Amino acid sequence: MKLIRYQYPELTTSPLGDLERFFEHALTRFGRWPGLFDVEEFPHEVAADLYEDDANFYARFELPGIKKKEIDVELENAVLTVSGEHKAKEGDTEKSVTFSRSISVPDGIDTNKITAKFEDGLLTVAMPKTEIRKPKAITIK
Amino acid sequence: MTQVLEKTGTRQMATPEAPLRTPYYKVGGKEDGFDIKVYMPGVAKGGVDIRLDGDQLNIGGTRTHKLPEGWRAIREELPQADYHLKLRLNVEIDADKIAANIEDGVLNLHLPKAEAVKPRKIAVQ
Repeated sequence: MKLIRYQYPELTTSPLGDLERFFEHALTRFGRWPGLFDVEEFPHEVAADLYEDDANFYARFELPGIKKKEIDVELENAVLTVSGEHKAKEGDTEKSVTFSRSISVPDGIDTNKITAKFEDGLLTVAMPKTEIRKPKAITIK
Repeated sequence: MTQVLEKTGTRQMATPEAPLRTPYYKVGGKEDGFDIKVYMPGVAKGGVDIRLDGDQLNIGGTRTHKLPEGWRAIREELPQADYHLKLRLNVEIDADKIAANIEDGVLNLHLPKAEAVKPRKIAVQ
């Protein structure tokens, strides 16, 4: 039996390496705003940001013109997906546009306590960190 | 239709202290006026400022939902800046009758053409 050390193809030093690659990939594919909306009605690709504070991770998606009830949010295997179908009325004709955006989120999320809020075209998903991920001050005895 | 409203140096107003983001917008219209849609996610009713200055239409959008204190960006795809869009109108607009409403981060603007430039049907005697 031979033991061969496996070389990771794209090992980065950042702890969020995977996450960064994911976004990088997403951006090269979709480009930035002006390109995103070449298509008739909003939005085929959705811009997403990821933030954190001590207690939560927050994902923010820009969904201008979309109605709350048209949005589905799903977290599966550390991939957060926002998708839906938007019905746009233009004059007498009604058009339907589907949208979907996935981002990978860090580990250590308390999946039972995720909340989402949609205001003025901005969707914010708050993902509480599990106890282990929260910074802790250690007292020296 | 986009030739009707020409975009002019929308970034000119931006300064390093207050960078502004040019929103995506769409222009449609009928014979009697133009309908403009400006996509400004994060802006509520109170944050919109529309000014018509001669043939320049300035649309400003101040974010109602600023980034809360203590949030650190892990990844940001788009700037969290306020919006500014400058459009040059080359058709006379009836400024008193401009109608605007914002819903779910989309500003809908209706700019009626001035009576003088509206198409007219001339009856043959």
